[in-house]
Amino acid sequence: MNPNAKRISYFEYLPNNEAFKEVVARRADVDLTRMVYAGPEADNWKQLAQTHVYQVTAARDDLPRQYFAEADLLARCPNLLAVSSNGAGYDTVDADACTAAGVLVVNQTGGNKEAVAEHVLGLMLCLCKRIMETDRYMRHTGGINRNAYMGTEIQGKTIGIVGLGNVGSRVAQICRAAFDMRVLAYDPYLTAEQCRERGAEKSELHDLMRQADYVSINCPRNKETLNLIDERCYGLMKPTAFFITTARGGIHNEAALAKALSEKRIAGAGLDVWDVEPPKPDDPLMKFENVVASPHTAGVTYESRWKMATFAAEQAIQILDGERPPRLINPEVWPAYARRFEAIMGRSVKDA
Amino acid sequence: MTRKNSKRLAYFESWFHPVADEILARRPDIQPVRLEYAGDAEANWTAMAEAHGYQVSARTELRAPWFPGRSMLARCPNLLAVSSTGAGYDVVDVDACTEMGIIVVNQSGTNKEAVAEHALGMMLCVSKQMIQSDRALRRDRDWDRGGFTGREMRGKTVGVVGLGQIGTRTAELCGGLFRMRVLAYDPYLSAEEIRARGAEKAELADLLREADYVSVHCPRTAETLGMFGAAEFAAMKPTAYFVNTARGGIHDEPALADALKRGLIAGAGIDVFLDEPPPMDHPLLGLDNVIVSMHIAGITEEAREAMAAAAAEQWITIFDGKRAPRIVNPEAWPAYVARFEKILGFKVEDNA
Repeated sequence: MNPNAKRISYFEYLPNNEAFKEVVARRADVDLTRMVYAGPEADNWKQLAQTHVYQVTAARDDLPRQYFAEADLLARCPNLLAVSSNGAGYDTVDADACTAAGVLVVNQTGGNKEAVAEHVLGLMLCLCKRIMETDRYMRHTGGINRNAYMGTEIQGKTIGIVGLGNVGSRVAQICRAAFDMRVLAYDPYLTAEQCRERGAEKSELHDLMRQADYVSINCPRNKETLNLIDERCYGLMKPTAFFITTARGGIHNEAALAKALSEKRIAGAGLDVWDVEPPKPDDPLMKFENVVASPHTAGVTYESRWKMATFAAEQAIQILDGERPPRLINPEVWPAYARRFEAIMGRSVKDA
Repeated sequence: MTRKNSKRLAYFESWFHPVADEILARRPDIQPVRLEYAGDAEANWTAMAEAHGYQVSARTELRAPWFPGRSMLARCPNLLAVSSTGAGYDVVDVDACTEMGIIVVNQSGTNKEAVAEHALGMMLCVSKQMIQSDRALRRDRDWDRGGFTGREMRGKTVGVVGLGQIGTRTAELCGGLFRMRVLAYDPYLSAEEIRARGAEKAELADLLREADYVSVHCPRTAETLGMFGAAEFAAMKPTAYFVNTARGGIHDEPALADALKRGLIAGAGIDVFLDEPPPMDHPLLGLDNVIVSMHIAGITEEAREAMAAAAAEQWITIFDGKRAPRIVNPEAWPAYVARFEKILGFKVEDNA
């Protein structure tokens, strides 16, 4: 190992190995090291202690707890400049602890917006046209009467988007431009004007739940959004409306959703994310015919993996070169980080 | 307006939506004659012999011997027009009608949104492996989510076979929403007409070779029956998807099943079958990379109302002696005009 190398380390997998390595290979001074969860812990800690950029999965249920980028790990990683999430989410990272430790947190937001937005549209169409239900019936029961499976159309309906970031804005664009839908958005971080620029009308959460024919959750999981969609929210929805989430488990209350479905207060749900992933086959939500379930794969496409890996590798190299990364989650860390960068790398950052 | 109940309109069982009864009820001169498939055959034949119009059921619901072919039409000397439920009219022997001076009309355009949304939903569903993951999640834990890695539609190529109302809307959705390249195979349209509908004219062989998605939107006719067989599927990319929401029989079912089993194509979305509903041992129903639905693409609540209203309005136009807006066999017009006057006792406004 080159003692002067700029080191990036990761466990098990990158968003796309080939794409990430292709970027890193252009730089002789950057060392990329793969660690394995089952490897000797002492070796992993030794590697992490020397690491400058820790490239980490955002999947809470994949990563062993001790390797979450939290205070304990940060205390053992004196050379760490940045924690870089594989995706848009960064649930395995304690951003406050990183800020306190002078460590940057960066993500790859935008890299999977097309994949997730297409998944949202696919769920909307599968639900309103009852496609999965008929597939199941035709394979398991037979003799289907098609008139019992009459669907509805999405054209001209109303969608309520919770969280109008990269993905939410793309969903808004698709629904408005192609299907003449009315688009409502709940996003407390955006003004009415900013929502309009992104193609939506600003709305309060409860108004959105009341008016929408489709509710799509596209916000990050954090203290503010945990349990945001609760029993009250489902109670406000139309009985003909569909609930869709491709964001993170925990934002919607699963027990309340199961209750709403069993009482037929809503028409169905498209669920890509779960409290505990992967969900078990006996999960109460799995018993409903009008649920379409996927295992957190909305953002997982060949194209998005490639984009995210390229984004991540390029951003990691920018950090190692002392540049300010484009997708910084905790900008308030910058002054403390700049001092640490100089102490660790022996030169100053380019944007102080 | 002529005398009460002087124009008899026969149909079996029901209209697709009660709006048709409401529209026709405004016209005392039109007498809707409701028949039942299980009813007395002799009484049904007597009613059909007296009928001036026949609103024919969709293939899925229609029963022998009530298919408007030569032998049935020979027993209906007063019949002036046959009207199909939706856009398709493959249950009608159009040539026989033309020879007998009977006009055939359809409801083309009324369910284009429904079918185009269904086709798009199927494309998204198969390319994101949504159906496979939903089945796996409900069944067991013996899967890895990386195995459900999907493909995005944005920027890919779609081949639309049949660029009528539905094909054009599908082209608009794919080209506009996802910046896809849209190829169209439609021997009845010039390159210029195809461009005006948002696509590039292609020969079938080129379309099959280049498309990432092939979506069928042509009628079932002598020309299109069996259009997709082993050679056509073999010409497609192994990463491509085949979607048919048009009619059963346009693709060869064993050949499609074989292509899917051998990985010659990546997946299929099939709404139409040779026999509907298909038996449970149908070869396509055993394949995991297929999503099936039971000829429901065009029967949303919105489309059924639009189809029924359009059919009822068109019957009023016909019985008022005006030229119907959606005549499939305009060559029948002169003979029809002569028969109309003889049978109903007043002249058609012949502005053809």
